[in-house]
Amino acid sequence: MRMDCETHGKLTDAYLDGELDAASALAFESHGAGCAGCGPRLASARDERARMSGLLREGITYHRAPPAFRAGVEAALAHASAPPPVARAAAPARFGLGSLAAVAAAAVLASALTWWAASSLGGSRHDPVGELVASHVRSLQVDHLTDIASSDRHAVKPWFAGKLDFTPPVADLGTEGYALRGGRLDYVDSRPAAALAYQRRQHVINLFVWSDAGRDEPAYATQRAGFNVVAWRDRGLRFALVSDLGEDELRGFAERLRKP
Amino acid sequence: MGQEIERFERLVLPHLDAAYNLARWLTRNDADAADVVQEAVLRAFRYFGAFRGDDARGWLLATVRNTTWSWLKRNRPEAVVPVDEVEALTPELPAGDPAVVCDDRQLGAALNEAIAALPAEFREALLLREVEGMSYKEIAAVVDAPIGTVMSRLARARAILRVRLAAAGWR
Repeated sequence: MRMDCETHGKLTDAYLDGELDAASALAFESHGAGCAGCGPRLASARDERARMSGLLREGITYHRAPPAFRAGVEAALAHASAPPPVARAAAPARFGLGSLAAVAAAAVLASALTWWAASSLGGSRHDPVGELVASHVRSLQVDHLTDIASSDRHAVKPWFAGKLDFTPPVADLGTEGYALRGGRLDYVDSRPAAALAYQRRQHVINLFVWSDAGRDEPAYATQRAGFNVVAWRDRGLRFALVSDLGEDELRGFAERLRKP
Repeated sequence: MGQEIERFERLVLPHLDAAYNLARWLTRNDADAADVVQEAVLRAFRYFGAFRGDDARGWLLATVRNTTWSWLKRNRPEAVVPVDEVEALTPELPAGDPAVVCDDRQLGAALNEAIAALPAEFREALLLREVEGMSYKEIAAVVDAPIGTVMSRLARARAILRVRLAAAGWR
């Protein structure tokens, strides 16, 4: 497919957003490589885009829902959903049976599955994914994201020494848009864990790391309570990312962290 | 009903900040944003039985976006001038070097002012892309427009920002 300069110019934004399909991207790149005008123009557009995205990421005001407003919404919801008296009496019985069945099913299956698969079954008491998400939410709500607040991995990493029986790898990916905010101690699956807080645009990402002997496992993604979770096992350590970022971006971050 | 609200709180309410941020940027003040988001969340809850997908954030943001636009058309018609009427309003790049180079804080203020001044269709596309990290397809679903339209609104939004920021000394 041949591309002319006008089309190349029009598609530049979509190309930089990674939104062209494979064939168009190929045609776009081959025109850019061979055209004395479009090649340099693309290079300067790419540079400008990187700087503008950086500026937007740093500078744009993120308006969070004020706590009083959030409480008002929850109250309005409770009011809107108040069931009539008859339905109120019937509901708990159905719920009770359902969760009993889920616990039984989980108990049968759990031994044959990894913690990951087992934890995706609702109702199980052994629920690391639920714990991770709860811990992530707590870290945001009570403003206890970090025990050591620092964007310097040389300050964060030694902080864990003596507090854990392993050393969590701490990556500095600030230049790639994942700013390190700091670290804290946490517990997952009844084990002490390192929690590293990163920030992508306005989104907080918690990376939990704990000892978990066994074979390496590739990254798996799941969802809980509207949050994305991506987890893997690498050289005796279990890693789990939790965030409200989209799954693709979170997987991308996981891939980047796994690259030495 | 008890399970329904529990499921709603689990899936949808984690995205209340994203909902509030979008409405706040579209209405440009807190009181209006609070009214609109409250109305949108209750509406979303009413239709929650029909939600089958796995993208609770996109689903909530689409409801918030619709509610906000209806609300603005009813209460703040001047805030939603159709895009083609502002086609002519793209600012010109000032000639010569800007007189002052501003510091980060001034630049941040200029950036937020420039975004607030964008036509609403451009502003929402830019926010969904740059703050929420959505793909063109996800944005198209939230704003109920074709992907090509999203692409051109984003390009126009960035072009206007570029000019306004250059006027504030960004280079």
